[in-house]
Amino acid sequence: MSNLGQQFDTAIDIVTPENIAFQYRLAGPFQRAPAYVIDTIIRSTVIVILGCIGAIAVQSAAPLLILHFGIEWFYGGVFEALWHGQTPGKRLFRLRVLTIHGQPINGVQAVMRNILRAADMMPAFDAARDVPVFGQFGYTFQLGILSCLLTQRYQRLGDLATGTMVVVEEPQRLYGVVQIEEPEAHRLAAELPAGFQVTRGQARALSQYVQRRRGFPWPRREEICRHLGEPLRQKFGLREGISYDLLICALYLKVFVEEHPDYLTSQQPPISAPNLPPEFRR
Amino acid sequence: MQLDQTRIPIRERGYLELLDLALHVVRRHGLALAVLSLLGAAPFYFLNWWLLSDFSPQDVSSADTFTEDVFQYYFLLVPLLVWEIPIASAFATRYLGMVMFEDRPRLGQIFVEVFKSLPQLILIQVVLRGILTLFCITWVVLFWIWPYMNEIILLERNPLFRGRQNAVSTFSRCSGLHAYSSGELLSRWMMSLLIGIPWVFLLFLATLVVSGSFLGVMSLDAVTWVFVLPIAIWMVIGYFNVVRFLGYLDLRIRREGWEVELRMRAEGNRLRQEMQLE
Repeated sequence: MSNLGQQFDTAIDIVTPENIAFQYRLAGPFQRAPAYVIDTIIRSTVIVILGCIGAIAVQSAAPLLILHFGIEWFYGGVFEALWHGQTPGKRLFRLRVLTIHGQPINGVQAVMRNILRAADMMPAFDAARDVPVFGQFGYTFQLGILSCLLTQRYQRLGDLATGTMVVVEEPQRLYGVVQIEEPEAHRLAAELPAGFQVTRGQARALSQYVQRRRGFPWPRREEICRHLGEPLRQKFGLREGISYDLLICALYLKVFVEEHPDYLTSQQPPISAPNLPPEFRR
Repeated sequence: MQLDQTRIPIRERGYLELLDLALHVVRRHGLALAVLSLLGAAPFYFLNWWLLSDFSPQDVSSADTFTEDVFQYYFLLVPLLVWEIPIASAFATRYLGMVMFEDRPRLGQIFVEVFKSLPQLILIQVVLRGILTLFCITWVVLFWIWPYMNEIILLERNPLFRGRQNAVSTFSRCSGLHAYSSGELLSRWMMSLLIGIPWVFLLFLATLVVSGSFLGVMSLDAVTWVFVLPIAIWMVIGYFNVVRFLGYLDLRIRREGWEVELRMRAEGNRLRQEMQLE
């Protein structure tokens, strides 16, 4: 089951039948295109090499044509069936095919969605054979793009027919508490009234800011922090002209560090957690 | 208005993800974007046809003459398009800016908001851009140095000059936003060309194939070149306008921590309200 909210995003939440929630980032046609190009290069290279070998070794064209047909039509299906929804191109770009319920795809789904790619590649140029300048080049892929445009999960026709979608595998980085080095922030934290309860939203704002602040120049830090810093300064009865950046850092220390000293794990590297169900982890 | 509750979740994204997300935005706001893009592009579509009517490919009897005529026509059309893109996409850009926080902005509201930015639009995006468009080499300024000038003019509304109050002017805001991102902006421009140009031709050919299959009409005569290909071009420009808007948001998120600022501002407003109640 998935919940596709009112916001526009490529991320969706899926709850498996075991009642485990996962968040996936969907891969649309543009994120899939580089993987498709890699797979096409691999497929073409294999066909050319086998063709050269076959031309020397075999006198008849029939086995070569069968081989060409097999590779052209079943390359994607076989790889996706054996590699849990991945081809070499998809593996390189960290993409994976799943069912729309977040489950691994089966062999039939893998083969069918790849065979139906032929429909996604339409309209074909063959019909424009008599047109000057262009002649016959191949496929326009517009039906597949149109299908991705019209469906919430960026499903091409092959995906719609087999109930699959393509997701991006990205490790979710879980950070420990950030260490604040400025001694002024620690001094200011001691001056803040004890027992001040931050709301969930304020805690999120503090955490998000402190994790990102090193990337911002000083004037920008003050500009960002002034919005929450000024009402906080008034509430705490602090002097005017205080650095809002330091005040936010001090409150962060008070909330996340002083009251939970065991959280201070900034010397440790961030924890990387895969966002995939256990059946995909090898 | 809940400043931390935007319609598009604000987080860092890669360029390919932005291209995909633009499809999502087009699906959800397709009708409004189509109408506003049409309002912006239709006058230029006919203006170009009128300006270049003397250069329209006429002779389709010889393949050589045909190719030469078409090349000449598009050699003149492309600079015109480069000049026209910002004005043609102004309504859609303003709409996207408003839809970030509001559900359904009214059409009149969009016109009023665009009208407020009109002096700077005319001065920078018509006059100055017109001069820069004349020389091909200066296109790097338009697409590499100032890629998000339209968004800055329409959505941020900085004054043209710094003035006595020492406000941030449009040009200083532009250089501040684009500074230190030149490598990425160049690669994004190249990617846009790499994807946009083939897409125009694929769309054009798909249209030809479909019209050939269903209507029995499929020829590359003067009418097709002058009327059908520009439609495909304007459709792809409309799509890349959405991509450019999302790219602008993405740049603001990474360079300025915009999502953090929105959250801070929302929490600050809530705290002020609580303090007033106390």
